[in-house]
This record gives sequence, structure tokens and C-alpha cells, in this order.
Amino acid sequence: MKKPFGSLLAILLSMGPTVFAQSVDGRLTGTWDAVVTIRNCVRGGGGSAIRSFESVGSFNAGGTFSGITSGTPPTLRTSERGVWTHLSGDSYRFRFKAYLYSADALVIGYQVVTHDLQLDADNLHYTSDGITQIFSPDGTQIGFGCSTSDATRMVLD
Amino acid sequence: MKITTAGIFGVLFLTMASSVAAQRSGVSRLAGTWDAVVTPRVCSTGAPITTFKAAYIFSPGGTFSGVSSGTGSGGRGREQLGVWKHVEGDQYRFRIKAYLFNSAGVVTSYQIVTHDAVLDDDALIWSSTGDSRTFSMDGVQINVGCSTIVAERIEEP
Repeated sequence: MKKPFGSLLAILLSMGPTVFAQSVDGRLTGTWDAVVTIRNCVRGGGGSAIRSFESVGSFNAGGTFSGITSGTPPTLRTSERGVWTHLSGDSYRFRFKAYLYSADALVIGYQVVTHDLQLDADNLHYTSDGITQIFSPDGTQIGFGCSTSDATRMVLD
Repeated sequence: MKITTAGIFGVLFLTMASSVAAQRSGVSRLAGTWDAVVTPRVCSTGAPITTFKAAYIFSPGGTFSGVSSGTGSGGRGREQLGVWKHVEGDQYRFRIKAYLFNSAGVVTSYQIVTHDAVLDDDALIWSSTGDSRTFSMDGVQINVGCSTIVAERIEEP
């Protein structure tokens, strides 16, 4: 004899803690240690590396992003603020912005970095690749570049 | 046993209610923005070395961001990102990372601060103790220090 309500209840109960604890798109939420590699832009990706540096990025619940980097002196570039979204499955996209300054502390433009990200199955590692666009303070694009990143989740004991 | 639709929704309601209650009782109580006073101390004696102010955000979902007034010129170490979690009861743990730069703006090292915090009953004040480990950029630990923090919640204006 079929017990539709009983089956439904069993499914709901088994899903409950997972559903309430972490949605699918929430898998990326957390703070990540990343190695960023600036690359020559090549159609289809895989451009040669120009230089690498470490950064830290926080993907906050709700879709905001914050980042800091060792790659540029903090007097020449602000920290990063942005957004992220879940695309599908293990795929995510993020975009952040940072303001750029000259050595005498005048704002000379801003940078917008957009990456597509692939999260691994255990939520402990991701890779991403994308572009960086440089704009003058009035919004005219004055530069373009490519980069990849390789990140490990920051964990607490 | 007859399982009704009302029964299913009853179980769901109780599951959600217990999740909300659990958050109010512990997990989410630390979330918010805090004015902090940080006191680096001699690890062996606990004697204060200096004090400085900082502002911290503990975001829902377990990410952390902070800005500090206490780490010298050139913007070195002013911005921090990290993670936090509820341990049990009023106890929390957080770990934050900052890059340290010399006066020429060259990154020299990074700092990992790990603290155990105790939140008061009304969730308006917490205090914490822990250590600060400094690493060269190739990951070799080059220093360890101790500190305490006392923080007050920045309430809605």
C-alpha cells in the first residue's frame, strides 16, 4: 500500500537540516586564500603568466564580496568590494571594484574585475578566470587584462 | 499510522522554529558591527604593550571583515578578512588575516590572528583572547604574539 504523505514526510525530514543550514548557492559563502595570476589575454584562456600574488576574498552571505590583496601597495589601490552570484551547479561569477591612486594620493581611476569560478565538490577549493578592466575616473576604459585565481577556503579549528 | 498534511506542516514548522530559536540562542548573536579596543600583550606575563581601536563586522554566514587603526603607516595591515563560528553557548572563535607592507609599499608578511570570544548575555559586549602569528610570504612563521580585545556593538542609529 502506498503512503504518499509518509514518503513525502520522510523526504522532507531528510532534507530539512541540509535545506535550512545551507542552500546550494550558499556553498561558496566564506573566506578564501587565493593565489592570483595575471596573464596575457589569449582567446579561450590559458595565457602565459605575467606575475602572481596572494589575496584574500570573502564571499558574504547575501551576495556581497570583500577582498584584500598583497599584490598592490594599499596606498595605490583600495581594498575590493563587489558582488557574487551562483550560476548553476558548481559555477559562480563574481565582480569587484577597487579605486586606484597615484603615488601622491590622487585618484587616477578604478578597476573592475569579473571572474567565472568553479567550486570543487568538497567546497574547499576553487579556481576562477576572467578579465580586469581599468577605467579613468570619468568612466572611460583605459586598460584591459586577464587573470586566473586558485583558492583554498580559510577554516577554523 | 495516518499521516496528514497538517501533520507534515506541523513537523516542518517545528523544524524551522527550532532552527530560528537555535540562531537566536547562539549562532547569530555575534553577527553585527563592533567597536573594538585591541591590546597586544606580552604572552608570558599578560602585560599590555599598547592599545588601538578597530571596527569589525561579523556577517551572517561566518565571514568577517575589519579595519584597524593600530598597524602603522602606509596602510600596512589596516584591513582584515576572516571567518568566525559559534563554538557553544556564548563562546565564539574567529580568525582574521591581514597583509603587512613596509613603508615603501612592498608586502613583507601576513598576520593570522585567532581569538576565542565570549559574548555577554545581552549581546552588546564581547571580550576575547588569542594569538597573532606572523608569516613570511613563503609561509614561514616569523613571530607570535598575544592580545586581548574588548568590543561594544555599534547599534542602529
